Amino acid sequence: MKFDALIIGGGRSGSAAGRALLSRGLHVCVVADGLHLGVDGADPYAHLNALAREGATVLRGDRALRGIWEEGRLRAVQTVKLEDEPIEASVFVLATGKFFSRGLLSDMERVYEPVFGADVSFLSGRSNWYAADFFAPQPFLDFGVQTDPEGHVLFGGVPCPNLYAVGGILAKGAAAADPARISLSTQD
Amino acid sequence: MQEFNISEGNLEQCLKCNLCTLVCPMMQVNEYYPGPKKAGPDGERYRLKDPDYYDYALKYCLNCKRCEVSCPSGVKVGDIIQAARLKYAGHNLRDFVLASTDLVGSLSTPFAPIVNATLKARPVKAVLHTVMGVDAQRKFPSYSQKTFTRWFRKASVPGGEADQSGFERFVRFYHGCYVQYNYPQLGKDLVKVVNAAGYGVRLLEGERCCGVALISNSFGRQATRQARANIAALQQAVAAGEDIVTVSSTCTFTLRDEYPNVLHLDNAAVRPHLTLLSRWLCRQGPLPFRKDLHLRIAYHTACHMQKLGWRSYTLQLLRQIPGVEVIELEPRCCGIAGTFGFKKENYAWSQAIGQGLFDAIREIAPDYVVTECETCKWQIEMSTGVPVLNPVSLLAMSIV
Amino acid sequence: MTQEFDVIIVGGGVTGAAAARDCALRGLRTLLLERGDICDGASGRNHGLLHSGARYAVTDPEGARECIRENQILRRVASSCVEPCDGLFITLPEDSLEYQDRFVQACRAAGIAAEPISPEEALRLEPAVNPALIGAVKVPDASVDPFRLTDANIIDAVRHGATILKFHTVTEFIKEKGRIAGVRALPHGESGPLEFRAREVVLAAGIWTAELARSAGVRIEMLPSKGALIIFGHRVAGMVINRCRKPANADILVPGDVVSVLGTTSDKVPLDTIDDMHATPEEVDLLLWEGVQLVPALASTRVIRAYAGVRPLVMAGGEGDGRNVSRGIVVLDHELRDGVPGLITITGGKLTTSRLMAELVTDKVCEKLGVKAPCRTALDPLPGSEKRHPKAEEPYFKRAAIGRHGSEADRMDFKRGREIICECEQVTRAEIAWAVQTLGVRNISDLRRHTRIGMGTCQGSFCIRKVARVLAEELGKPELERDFIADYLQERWKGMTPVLWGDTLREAEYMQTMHRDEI
Repeated sequence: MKFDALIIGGGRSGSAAGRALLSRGLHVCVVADGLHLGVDGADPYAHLNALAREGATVLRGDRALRGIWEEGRLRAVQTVKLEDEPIEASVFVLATGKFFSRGLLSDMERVYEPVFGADVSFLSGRSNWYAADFFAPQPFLDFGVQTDPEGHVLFGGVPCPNLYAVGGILAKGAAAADPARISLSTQD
Repeated sequence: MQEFNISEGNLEQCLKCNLCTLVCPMMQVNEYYPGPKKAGPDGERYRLKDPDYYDYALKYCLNCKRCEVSCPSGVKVGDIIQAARLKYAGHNLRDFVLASTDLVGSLSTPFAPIVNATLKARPVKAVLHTVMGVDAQRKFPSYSQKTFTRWFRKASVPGGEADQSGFERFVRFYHGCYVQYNYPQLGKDLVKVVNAAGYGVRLLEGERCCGVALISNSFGRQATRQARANIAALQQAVAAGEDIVTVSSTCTFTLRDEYPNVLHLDNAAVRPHLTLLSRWLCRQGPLPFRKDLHLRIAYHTACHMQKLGWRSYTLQLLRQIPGVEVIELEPRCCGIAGTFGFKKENYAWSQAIGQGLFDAIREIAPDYVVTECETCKWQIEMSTGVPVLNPVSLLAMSIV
Repeated sequence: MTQEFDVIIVGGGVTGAAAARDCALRGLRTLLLERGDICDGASGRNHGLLHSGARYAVTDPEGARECIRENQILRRVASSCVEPCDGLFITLPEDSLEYQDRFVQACRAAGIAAEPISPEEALRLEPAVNPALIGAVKVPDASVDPFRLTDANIIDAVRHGATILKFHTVTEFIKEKGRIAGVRALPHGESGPLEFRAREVVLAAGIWTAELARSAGVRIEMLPSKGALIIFGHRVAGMVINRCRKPANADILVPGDVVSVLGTTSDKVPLDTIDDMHATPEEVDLLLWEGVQLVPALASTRVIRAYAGVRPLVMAGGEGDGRNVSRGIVVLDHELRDGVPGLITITGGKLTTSRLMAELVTDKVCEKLGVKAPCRTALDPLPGSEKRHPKAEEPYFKRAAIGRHGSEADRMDFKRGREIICECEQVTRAEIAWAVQTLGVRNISDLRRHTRIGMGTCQGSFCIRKVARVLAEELGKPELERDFIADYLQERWKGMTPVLWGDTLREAEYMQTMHRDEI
């Protein structure tokens, strides 16, 4: 399958980006792995149904596994359910959220972004991840993916020209992409 | 040292967020059902301590897997519940009759006109209702006079086995019980479409019922026996370098996912080669569509189709048919859930669950509802009067 | 107003509770004073292991014999608190099979049924053990719920006339003519202390005994030893798993109700830290590293919490009548030892031997008071331990309560309170109401100790508001609801932070998102 834009993550930020790109007349696919917090309790799929009505292809309950790269650009994303048939797109938006939605994973030593291995800012030493007081600011809530000022995701400090990030997955202070200004041009 | 938390069915990843309880169709209508979280990961912690904690209310799980599709943590909620039912639940004769779809099918076929007449006659329905516990209002699926395979193997029929030898490339067809006993026409449709795509059709050696009804009615031993036979049959096809295509989302999902996740059988060698026809067709060249159709169809995503995650293949394909307007129904459960809705004690719940879907269909008033699931077909036809087609039948209608 | 008793027991841990029951059963007018809630100290911060004695067979044969005797008694009289799951001592390639032989002989000499089995048999009995094992010994270890054991003692003490006052801090000992004649104790939230008089005062305050003894004018040297433990989210193994070697760090995994507990570390800590015990990330790392050798699956099992307790080790050698033991039971007759009549201390010992400790100290009290009644605690079943198993036809929500409280669950009002409040641990309103009425619960932490509420995988993230509302309603104090939530979140957070990675970090984000802005 091939689209103009592939959005990875069907939460609030992913849906908003999807709507913005649809309104530009683009052909959009959203990979929505599980529900996110903050859904409408009466109709938890309302936001995804709305996207589908507006013409997006919504892959409910599917999960991005890894990127397929070509000359420094992301060409396609492989998912759990489409298996050996990666989804191709011109631009990609990473909107998988933080820990709860598994946009960021952690082990005993580190925090990482599992789909692409993007740059993640976090503090070293687990005892620095939290404050002892539950109600104090919690450092781990500031961890996240790093971007350039246009919201391009960084890899080893270098921005990927067609992978953008929005929403909870961003590190504190990292710029979110503006879906209205995401360029489809390959010369970017 | 600790990287991933792994436990059976990912039971431990459950963060108790309760998003699954928002989407469980049974919870919305049945106060006796504790819901996917309590029946699944919560209950499993207690069952690990002592099987006496098994809760008989788990029988209300529809196995629709909507909980799994909604889960942000990757917990196999439905699998945990199914596995617990296989391990702990008891059963009765009625469940066995309903569950043994190929047994009932093979007994019924030679006498199909009689069976069909009796299934429609009121006194017999009353007997089914009281003795067997099958709901009297339920239309029992009718049985065909001739099985699909008898038709296919008959030397003289056009499209039959003899006609297939002209092709150079082949796919194997896992037809399932519904095509075999209830609706052989769907099998004939598949042959027509596959042939139009340039492939010949072959049958599997020793295909058995996928066992989905045995699993959901807790007949684990019988289900495992069938599954082993099927895996062996599929392996033969894979060894011959041929893909296996199917028409039913439920059979496909059972063969691919329930075997490893619920029955704990290894099907890794055959799983990637087993696919619904619509997905297989998306990899082939364009079909020779006719140009004179004028149809409005509503596509219903069956629960197991949603779980497979392949609805976009079908939609892509249907949208290529000239003159066919495709309306996507919001994915909802129809309430039949295989044999669940056939039991008299479940009839009211079954209809209550499907109500939202029936209303949406009536409002659109399409020429056909299209879905990959045969039990959704029975339920929707009975409840809305709108005829239901498998996408393969619609494709067969649409090609020259 | 002064109240008069025959005996005052200071300390509401498992030993104090068992002593209160024993005293009450022997007809003494008994008062138990506890400064916090029942099981606040080491009694609620351990493995929940009912030792067979095998662990001590090589190093402390006398302690081992005590353990196996008490193990057999508690299996009988406290059956609702004990899960007779048995244990394995496994020998890994880096350990020695010669030690295993010595271990088996020592067990047998102590009267412990130790049965060497093949590695294959061990894996069949308990598929979770390290498959690299080269030997295994099956022993009658068991799992015991320390909260339930203490509660059962308290309930029975009350039913036999004892007075239990929780949240009463002993501020001072009443001294008359050179003897201890009672105590003054301050009820929490009150301005002035109350006076309680008795002919004997028993100190059963665990690690806090040293300080109390000092204010009574006697000196007891104690060595606080910190033990950290971690909890896994479900049962990884059905049996207790030990390492067959000289006792060391993190070599016991115990199935406790629906979770697994791994521990412990052992570190001397200063006395002034004992009121603020928590596990550290470093201790967690150490525990996991060692635990994985026992049961490799622990490497991929979710850790939901870590906690720490303080063992009250006592230096008794050479002073008064104290026997020269460190981890054994110590009864100090301060009249003989220090010339302070009216004061007796019970310390040392283990959860497993708590009933025996109570018997020994009650014998001493009776001797002082000239009472001849025999001890019945080895024979009479504890409340809840009359034969009671969940039946299939019983509603599901009731079965979890029966699993925790045995026949006591029949006293809960499930007609009124069938609503499940804590979903992980299946705690109903009926059980909460019962805990409020029977056990004097005052906040969510108390409730947790007596019902497992909030102890499951979500650590209260999902149910805490419902719990707070229902508890406030049952107490008739709706104004406390918000404080309950804030205090409980803080309490859970303390145990989650040392294990904040993987799914527990995900849970932490969920907990923060759901609750941090509410208070």
